[in-house]
Amino acid sequence: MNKILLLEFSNARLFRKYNRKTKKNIYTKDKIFCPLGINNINRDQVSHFIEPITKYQISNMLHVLFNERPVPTLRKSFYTRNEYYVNKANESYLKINTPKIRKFKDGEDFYYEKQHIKKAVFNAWNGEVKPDWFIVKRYIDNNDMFINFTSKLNELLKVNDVTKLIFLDVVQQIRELPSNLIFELYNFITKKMLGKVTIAYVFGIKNGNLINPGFSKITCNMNNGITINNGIDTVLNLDGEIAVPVNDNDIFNLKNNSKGFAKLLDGGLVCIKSIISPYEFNEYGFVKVSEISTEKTVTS
Amino acid sequence: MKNLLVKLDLNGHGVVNYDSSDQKYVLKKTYINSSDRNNVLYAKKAFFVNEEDENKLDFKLKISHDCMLKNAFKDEMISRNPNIAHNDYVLYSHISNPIAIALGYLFPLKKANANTLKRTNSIMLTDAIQTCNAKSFVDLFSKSGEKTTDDDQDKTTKLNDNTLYYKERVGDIKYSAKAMIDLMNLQFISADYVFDRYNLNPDFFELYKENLKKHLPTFDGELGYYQLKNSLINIPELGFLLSKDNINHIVKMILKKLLALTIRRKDSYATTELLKIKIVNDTIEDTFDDPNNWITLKSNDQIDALDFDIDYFYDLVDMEEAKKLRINVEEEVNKYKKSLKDSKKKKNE
Repeated sequence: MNKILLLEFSNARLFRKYNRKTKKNIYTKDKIFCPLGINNINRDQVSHFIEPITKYQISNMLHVLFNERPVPTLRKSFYTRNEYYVNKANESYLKINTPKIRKFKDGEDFYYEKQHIKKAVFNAWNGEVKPDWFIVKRYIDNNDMFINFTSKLNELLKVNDVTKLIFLDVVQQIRELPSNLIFELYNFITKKMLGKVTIAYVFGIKNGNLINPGFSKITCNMNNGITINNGIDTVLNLDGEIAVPVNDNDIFNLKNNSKGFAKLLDGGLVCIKSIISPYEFNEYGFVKVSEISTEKTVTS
Repeated sequence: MKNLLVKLDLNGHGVVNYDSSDQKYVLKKTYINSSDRNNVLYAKKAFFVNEEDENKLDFKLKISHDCMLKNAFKDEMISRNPNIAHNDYVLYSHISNPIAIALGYLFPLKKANANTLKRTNSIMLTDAIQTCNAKSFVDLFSKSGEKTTDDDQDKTTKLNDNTLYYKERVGDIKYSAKAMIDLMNLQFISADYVFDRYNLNPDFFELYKENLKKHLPTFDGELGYYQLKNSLINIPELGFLLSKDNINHIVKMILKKLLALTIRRKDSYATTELLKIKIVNDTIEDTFDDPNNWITLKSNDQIDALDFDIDYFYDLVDMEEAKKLRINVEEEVNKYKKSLKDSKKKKNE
C-alpha cells in the first residue's frame, strides 16, 4: 500500500447491556428491527461483540466512506459485503482515545454517560393513549365487522354516522344509556365480534355491568402497539483515530466518488484528517483491527 | 458540493447540561473533591488522561449534541411522542416536515404487515467541548418546599426528604463543536426496505407529497428507482430525490437554527457566538484541520445569500430495467418471509 489515510472519529455511541462478569445479555425492551419489519427480535436474544469496535464496524464504515452500501452485522440483509473493504478493515489500525476510567476488582471499563436516547430502555414509558376511530378500526382489522359495529352503535345512539362523533364522546354516551341497551351492545360484541370482544372494556362493560373503561386493551394490542423508543439510560461515547492503508486508486475514489465522511457505531462522526506516508505513521497506542477480539456475549 | 462542514463556537455562563451522580466514581481521580453522596448534580464532562500523571484524570465540561439539537429545533419539532404513529395523517404530516427529514425519526410499528419507519440524522454534530480555562466547582444549594419526614410516609418506607443538595457550577465558559451536513442522506428519501432505511410507505406517497408541498412549494418529485453511483451493488432502490432548491432550503434552515442556538436554564445559558462553514468539493483537501476557505456567517441574510451547487449521489434507473435487477431481491425476500412463517409454525406445533 502506498499511503496511510488518517481518520478521526468522535461521539461514537454504543448502547449495550450485558453483565461484565458472566458476559450474559441483560433484558431490555429494545428490539433489533428486521428490514421487513416482521421478525423483530429482542436485543438480549442476539449476541453482541464484547469489544466496542471490531472489524465489522470498521468494515461498514469503510464501505460508506468509499460509497458502498454498509451490510448489517446483526440483522438480515439481501446483499453481501465487498471483500476488498473487509480486507482493508483487517489491515487498518484503531486507537480509542476515550480512557477506561471505571475500576472494578476484575478489570477496567469505560465510563457510561447518562443520556437521552431513542431506544426502548427499561424504564421507557408513555402516557395513556386515548383511542380514536383510527385505532378502533385498526384493532378490529375487518372492514365488514367494523361496519356492523358502527351500525349497531348508530342504532343504539339513534345517529346517522357515529364515526363523525369523537370516539370518547361515543363511549360516554353509551355508558349513559339504559342498562338493557348496554346489555344489548355487550351481547352484540360477544356474539358477533368474535376475537375482538375486548373492545367491550373500552366502553367499560364487563359481563353486562359497567366498570371503569380500560383503553389499553385496544391501544396496546398487536395491531396498535407502539414501541416507546424514548428514554434515559447510560451509553458509551467513544473518540479516537483509525489508520487505513490506501493506494492511488482508493485516493482517486475518495476524491471523486466519496462524500468524505462516514458514521461509526451510533452516530459517531468519522472524518478525514489527512493522508500521510507509512514512515510518518506512529503506531503507538494503535491496535491492528484484525487482532481485536470478536468474542460475543451470551444470549439470555 | 459534496457535503458541508460547520464549526460552531458557543459562549455561556453556568452549566447547561448535567450528568448522573454515577460520575462520583470517576471524579475521585480528578482534582474535584467528590463525595459518595447521591444528591449531587454533576455537569457533563469529557474525560482524558492527565499528560503528566497517567493515574490522574483531567476533564473539560461539555454540552452533548442531543442537548444542542433539541434546543436548536425545539420550536419546530411537532412531536417527540411516538403516539403520533397511531394516526396515519398525523404521522405523515410529521415525517414530511423538513425538520424531520433533516433530523431523522424512528417509528417502530408492531401492527401486522407494517414496516418500521426510520430515517437517520443528516446533521452530524459532535459534543461541544470546553475551550477556555474556566474551572468548575461544587456548591451547596437548598430547595424550598415542604419537607417529607418519616411520620408522613407509611411505616414501610424510611425516607426523609432532603432540602439540601450539591450542584456543580462554573462562571463564563466557551465551547466549540463540529458538524457535518450529510447531503447524500438529505437528498434521497427511500421507500424501500432492501437497504434497511424505510423512510416512508410508498402506499402513502400522495399523502406525504401533499404535506411536503406545504413546506417546500416547489417540490414535485415522483417515486422511482435510483441506483447509488459507482456502487458495485446493482440493486436499484425505490424512493425519490429532492431538487437542488429543496436541499438548499433545508440546508439554510439548518444553518439558521444553529446560528440562533440558545440553551437556557434558570441560572445558566449557552448561545452561539460564531458559525463558520466550509463547502467541500475535494474531500481530501477540504477538511476541518485545513484553515482555508472557511466562511463566517453572522446573520440570516448572509445565509439566505448562499447558493449551494449540490452533487447528486444517485442516478435514476429505468423502471423496466429496475424490475429486472430486483427479481433476485424479490425472490430472496419471498424465501425469507416463507422461512419465517415455517419457523413460526414449527414453534406453534
